[in-house]
Amino acid sequence: MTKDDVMRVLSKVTDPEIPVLPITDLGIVEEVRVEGDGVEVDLLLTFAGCPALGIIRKSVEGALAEAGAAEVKVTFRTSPAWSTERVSEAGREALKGFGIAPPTAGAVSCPYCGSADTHRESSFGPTLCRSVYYCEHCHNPFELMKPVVLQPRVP
Amino acid sequence: MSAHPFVLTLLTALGDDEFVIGHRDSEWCAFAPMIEEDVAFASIAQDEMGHARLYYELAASLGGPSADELAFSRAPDAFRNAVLVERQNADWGYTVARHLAYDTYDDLLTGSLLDSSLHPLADIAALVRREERYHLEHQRIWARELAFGTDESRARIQVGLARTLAEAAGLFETLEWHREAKAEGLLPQLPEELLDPFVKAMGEIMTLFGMMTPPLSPEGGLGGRSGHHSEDLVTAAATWQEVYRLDPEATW
Repeated sequence: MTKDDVMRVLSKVTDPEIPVLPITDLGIVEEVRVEGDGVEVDLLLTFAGCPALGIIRKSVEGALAEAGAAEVKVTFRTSPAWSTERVSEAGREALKGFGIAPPTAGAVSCPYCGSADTHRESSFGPTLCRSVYYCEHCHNPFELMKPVVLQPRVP
Repeated sequence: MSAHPFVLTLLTALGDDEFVIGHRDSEWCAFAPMIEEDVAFASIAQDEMGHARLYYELAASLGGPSADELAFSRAPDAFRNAVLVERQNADWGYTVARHLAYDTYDDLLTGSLLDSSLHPLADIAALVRREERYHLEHQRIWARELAFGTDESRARIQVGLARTLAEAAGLFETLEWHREAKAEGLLPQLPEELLDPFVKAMGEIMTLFGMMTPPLSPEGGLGGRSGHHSEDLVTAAATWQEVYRLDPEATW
């Protein structure tokens, strides 16, 4: 197996809470090392309490074993820090198609009608990474992938 | 090779505050004033317990017991959380006031930990801060709602704040292991050094919401950092440890 083979396999592994989003587009695949038929994958921790992380680990191990890796080691790293700025352009489009507005620091647009006439109902939604919004234009509730970026200390 | 005991104590105490308040948050699930708050407090609980796991796992990697053992098999007097976070939720006013105070403290603490000489600890602090921002914002929104709501809601948040500040000093209790950790650069600031910025930050919030600033009693809520807890922790730990204690060898 080459690194490219591994990346191709990983691009089919999705986040179980957002099944349209491959982990490669989520931006959590930090490093891949191949030695003989052993593969080591370093993933970045997203939300500390996210229950999907254990499932992603198992999915990566299963997919690589199926592709011929004899030994797979998946490590979650806290450094460098993942941020939602790592979500790829393809990932942002996939989120919209799934009814989730992609993370943004600016105005939040409705993933259904595109209107920016929206307001936040709650920071906390069905998963740790999603907030609940409402579109005043098409009257649909929708979710936003919660933007997380590094927070400098209080001055 | 095991790290110095003060390193393990520090990391365990950092995890304990998060774990115990996370347990209290989880108790609101299905009982909060509205369904959005069931979801919010369940999410906050999940975040806090995730943070606790990061601190516990770092302690484990440096020679401490595993994260599961730390959370589920220690006796209450081995916990190093501040008494404030173990108190029962009481009413919504106290819940919001206590969490607002805790998140304000946590913001100062994690900001300071960004400079820790223990780099994995600084990395954890950076991760934790990204999520805590939402907690702090949420509690501020609720404090404002209660302050400008009805006479009753205003009275309840005011009473909740007074009860909180009567015991908040426990968060800043500074023991020998804190001083050892500071001498080695693990802890950039002692807890007691965060007290003044905390009082200032809480005062600013209360002024903004037109509330009186209740006094912070310097001797209130001490003891948690050396394992002296209230009965509230004993009953809470009996709940969260019940399943684990049935069969500590079970795998999930």
